[in-house]
Amino acid sequence: MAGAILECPSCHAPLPDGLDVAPTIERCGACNTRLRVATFPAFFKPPPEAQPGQTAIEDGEATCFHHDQKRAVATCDACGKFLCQLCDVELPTGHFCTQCFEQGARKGKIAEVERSRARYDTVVLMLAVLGLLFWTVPLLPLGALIFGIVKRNAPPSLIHRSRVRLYVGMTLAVIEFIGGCAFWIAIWASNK
Amino acid sequence: MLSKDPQFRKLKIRGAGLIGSASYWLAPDHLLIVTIDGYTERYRRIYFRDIQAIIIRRTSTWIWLTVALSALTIVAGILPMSTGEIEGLISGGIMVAGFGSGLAFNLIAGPTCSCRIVTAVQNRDLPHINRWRKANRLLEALQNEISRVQRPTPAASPEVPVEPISTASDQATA
Repeated sequence: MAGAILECPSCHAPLPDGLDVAPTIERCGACNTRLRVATFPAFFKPPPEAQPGQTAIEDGEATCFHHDQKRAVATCDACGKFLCQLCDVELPTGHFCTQCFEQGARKGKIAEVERSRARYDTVVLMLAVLGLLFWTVPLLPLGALIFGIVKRNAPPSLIHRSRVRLYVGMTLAVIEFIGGCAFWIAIWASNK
Repeated sequence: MLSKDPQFRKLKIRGAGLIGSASYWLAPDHLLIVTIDGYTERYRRIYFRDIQAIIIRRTSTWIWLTVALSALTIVAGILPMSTGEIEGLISGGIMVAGFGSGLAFNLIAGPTCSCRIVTAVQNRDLPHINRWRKANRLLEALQNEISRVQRPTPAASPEVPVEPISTASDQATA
């Protein structure tokens, strides 16, 4: 049995060891909440021990870019720096130094750590649809159009969506803008 | 695009709330949770090797929803009948249909729950998995993947020093 303890999500009381048999339907002994608990082999594994960077032993051996006393174990796939075990960020796609990892994560270049994306196509479409309500004021479609042009190369949604919404929104915005302008030109011409 | 990526398989478990929704995707080594709230898509990856346990907890929301929707349906049905006016009956009928369909949906969807994934460093409630049946479907889908990844590797046989085989001629010389 590992040192880890499962607790009831409702009352935070530790769950008995009897719930190890996966998956069982039980009740929490403390609050009587009905639970279904499934445990997996990782629960019983002891936590992995931290591995300190290995010390460079021989002269001429490659050392870490940041720690000149530590032996290099990998190179950064982005910038090519030698990295010790401490500085190496290992991902399924490769090894990264902490700077490249942070930069890649911030710019969305490392897919494994990408955390969010804005759906600019939906914003453009919503602005264009909203512009239909206030079609006499062509500022809203103009905003949608400019926003669509600026963000046209932004990465689209990760799930099953194309750029159709963006193009539909921009087309609608162009039509609304032309319509709005024509309206004001017509009013100006009639008053003249 | 995940739907065209052969490495990802979308689970037929989809949750939606008032202001957002979530979809679940299985990759070879992780579960990808895509949450959409407004104009942002948020991604959460939970690696199968890290998952220690999944806990589904039954909640009482289902009972309270059933009671509340039943009461509203009854009230919406009785009040217009007492007035006897046609406008009241029509509006009452619309309300009964609304509350009644909500009640029917709640009864069909089944008991409510919360679903939590436990790893060594965090306990995370899964977004929009709030029905017992749906949570169990997710658990069944994940169990095979987690078991496959966490299957203990067969231990390497200890190295036994090999002794030279003595031949008949060696024995004769000895």
